[in-house]
Amino acid sequence: MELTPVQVKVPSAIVTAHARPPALQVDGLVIGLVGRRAPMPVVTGLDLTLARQEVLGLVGESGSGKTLTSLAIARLLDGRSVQVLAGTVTLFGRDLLTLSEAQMRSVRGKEIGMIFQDPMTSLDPAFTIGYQLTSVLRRHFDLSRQAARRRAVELLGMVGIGDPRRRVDQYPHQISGGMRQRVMIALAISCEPKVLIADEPTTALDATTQAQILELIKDLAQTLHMSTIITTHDLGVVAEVCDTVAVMYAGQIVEQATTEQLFYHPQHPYTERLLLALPRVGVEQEMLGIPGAPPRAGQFPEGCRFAPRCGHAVEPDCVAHVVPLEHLAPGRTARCVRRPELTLRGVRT
Amino acid sequence: MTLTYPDAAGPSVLPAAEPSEARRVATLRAFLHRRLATTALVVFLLIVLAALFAPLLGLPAPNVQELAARLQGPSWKHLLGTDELGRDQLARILAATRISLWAACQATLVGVVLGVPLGLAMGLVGGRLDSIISRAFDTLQSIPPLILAIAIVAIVGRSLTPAMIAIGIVFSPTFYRISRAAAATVAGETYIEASRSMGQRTHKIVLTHVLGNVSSALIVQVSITLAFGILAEAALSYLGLGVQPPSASLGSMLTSAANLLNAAPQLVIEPGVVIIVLALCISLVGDALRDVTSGEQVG
Amino acid sequence: MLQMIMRRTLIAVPLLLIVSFAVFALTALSPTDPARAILGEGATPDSVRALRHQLGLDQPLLHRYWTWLDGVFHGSLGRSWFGNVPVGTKILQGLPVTAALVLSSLVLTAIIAVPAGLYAGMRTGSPLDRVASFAAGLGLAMPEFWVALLLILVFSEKLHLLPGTGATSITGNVLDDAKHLILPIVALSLPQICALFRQTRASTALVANQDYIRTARAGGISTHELVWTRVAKNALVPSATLLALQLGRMIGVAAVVESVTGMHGIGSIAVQAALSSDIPIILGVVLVTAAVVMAANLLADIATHYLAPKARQS
Repeated sequence: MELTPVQVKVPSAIVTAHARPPALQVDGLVIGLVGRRAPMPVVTGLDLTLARQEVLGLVGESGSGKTLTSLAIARLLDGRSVQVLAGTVTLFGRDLLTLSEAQMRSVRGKEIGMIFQDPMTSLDPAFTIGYQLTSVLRRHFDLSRQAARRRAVELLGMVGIGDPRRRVDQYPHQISGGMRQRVMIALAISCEPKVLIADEPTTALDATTQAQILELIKDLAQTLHMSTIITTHDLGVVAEVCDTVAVMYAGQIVEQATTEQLFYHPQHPYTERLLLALPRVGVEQEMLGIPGAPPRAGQFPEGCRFAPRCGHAVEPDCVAHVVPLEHLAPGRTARCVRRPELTLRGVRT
Repeated sequence: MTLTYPDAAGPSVLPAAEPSEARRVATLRAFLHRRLATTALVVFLLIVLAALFAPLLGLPAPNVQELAARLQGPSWKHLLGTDELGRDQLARILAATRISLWAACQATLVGVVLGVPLGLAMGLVGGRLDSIISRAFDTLQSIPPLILAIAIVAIVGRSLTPAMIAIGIVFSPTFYRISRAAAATVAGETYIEASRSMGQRTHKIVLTHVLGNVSSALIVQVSITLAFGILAEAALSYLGLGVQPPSASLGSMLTSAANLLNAAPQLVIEPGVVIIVLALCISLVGDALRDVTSGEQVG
Repeated sequence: MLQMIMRRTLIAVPLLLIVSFAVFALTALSPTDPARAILGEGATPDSVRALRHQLGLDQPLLHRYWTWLDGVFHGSLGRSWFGNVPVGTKILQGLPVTAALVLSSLVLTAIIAVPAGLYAGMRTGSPLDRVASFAAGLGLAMPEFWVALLLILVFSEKLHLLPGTGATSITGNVLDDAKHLILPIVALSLPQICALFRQTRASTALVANQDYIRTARAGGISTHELVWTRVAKNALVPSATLLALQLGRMIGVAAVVESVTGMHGIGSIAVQAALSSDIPIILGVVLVTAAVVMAANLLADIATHYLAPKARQS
């Protein structure tokens, strides 16, 4: 098995948007809490398209359903408490939700790489870094022990870990948090997946390490031609690495756009408030939080879910009916009934 | 994040706050929601009541021998039949249950008295003394429990109370460990520092905060110890190292019945079943209490 | 690693001294005079005094302890008060029987409880798990000697499949020894299997929900490797500790099971000694079993050292 990345850069202009299926497409995804009572939807009818080789930011507060969505794509939800109730997840034209568990195991790690939030708890304390890397490598490729180990050392080098030959035999508790996240990344890209999902990859890290890790993910996505989803609650992260953004609120997408459009011309009041909450260099200004708390699952408002916290909400338009996601242009959507009449403030306006 | 494992002998999860009235009610309600545990509690209480008020039930006296009616099967006169001396088996079982329960209580009490005050004190004090005492309790645990009990009985003499004190000593390290851990946790909490700086006396701090903190873990451990106490008493009395004739516990009833194993197996089975039901009910209640107080939501 | 073993072995020596002295000191509190007990009610005061002198009981406690300790360092655990048999000889006679009983039970416990606990712990809340957990609770509530009695009733008295008495000694005839050992082993193991099952199940359920297990699943690791390597190595740390504890419990409970099945092991020797207040034998049994338990704890620590690399630092 040839493992070194094929160094053929495909000019993105040549890849026409509709000729081939996108890297990942999520349609009508419903995720619900299951238990003794009737299932309670947490993510309600989510649509998402990840184009080939793009970096998509999935933005939302904690509890908005972004982490559940990323886990659902790789079918990693704990089936006893959370389940996918409806929808499809299509990876390069193949519906993942209809695959058997055994088929899915060949997809995980090989075709979808995952990076998790907390590097302190996401690596196994009982096994060496090398073992954790080689067991995934040998699961997907027919490699000898030595070859897998060589590849593990190489991977550690790729993610910027110094002295990889020594580190490969160490245990997670022997290295720093930032380095653990690098190991986590090495693990995610070890089999050169076509899709990388990073769930809040920098939340648990300090500011300096955050920037380095983001830079690393961005570089690797480019060199390995990966299509990437990064979930985050931080629009700053989005500004730094993402090509497009989907904003989630209370279990649904409220706006999707290219990063530039979203920052300069937001089409949803929630996005506007998120942008206003961003710290700005050189501008003396009060940080604006959003008053109130997002609704909990099972208590979603009938109409617009953001209406109770929205400064632009009016009765009865905003509260009477379910608000549909409006398609404004390819890759550009918004979920606001008052959108045509509102002029929302983006950054620098 | 550090991974804490449930303790092999009991709970290691300690609720952080002091129990309030509302929380107690909530805990009780959560407990009653568990049908199995509630049933176990009811069965246990019924057995206890029957054992305590056996003389009022109109059964034949447990020690009256009716040699003409030896080894009879169940009848209306003798609901569980008679033993090899013609004594009423049900009356004997109830009398023996009373003794077994009392013995288990003694052992538990000894365990609590030896373990809890020392554990609380060492948890609060810490330092050299703490490590010496803790090591002593560890050492105690390196002697096989039943061997230690046998040794103590051998030295002090054969009767029920020394045997149960021995069992209590065997159980004391667990009580010590739980109390010490709880006190040590609480000692580091800010509200203890605060009440200290407000001039409250140390023993008052112990009473108000630490006991409140450790009580639920202790209740669970007490129930576990009661169950083990019943089993340990049965073993020691079976060996002739516990209760002495003419008194009989569930364990010593089995000693004489073992000789009639083939002729009258019911004499072996009946006291054994009572032991199992008692131990099972108590530990079911204890398990449920642990789950409820630690907020675990399984099944 | 070697250092730890050395250190722990060195610590064990003073601990055993403390244990032995504690038991020795307790004998001073004994209300019964052994000399009178040995000679019976009709003994003359003179003969009692003579025996006390012969047994060294008229010496001060510390002196007696020193004499005993001196003997221990010279390989002698003293002599039984009855029959004048060396304690060491008696214990050595019982040792093979008890060792065969306890070690077989320990192995049986581990090979049943660990896989079952891992299996159930991966499926908590499933019908199978609920049934197994309730059965484990039931098994824990059963007195071992009662189980032994019932097993004898069913398999020996009624079905005549197995001998009703356990091995009085290990003959070396494996088939014959096994036949005599089966019922005692089952009786001794049953509650311990249940206890170890519950521990393994609980820690497995805890480990299965850890982030790092999700990471392993995200890597596409096969279920087999996930459970039997990743989860197992993390979840079996407390099980190893419990297993060492169980060795001690089993040695104690073996006394009852040996008595029920008429085996001549260390346990039944201790029970006989307790019934006749034969203190030297009791002392010897306590010392030997405590040493065995300490050795088992050391083995458990070595297992932890291997299973949990994080614990190696402290």
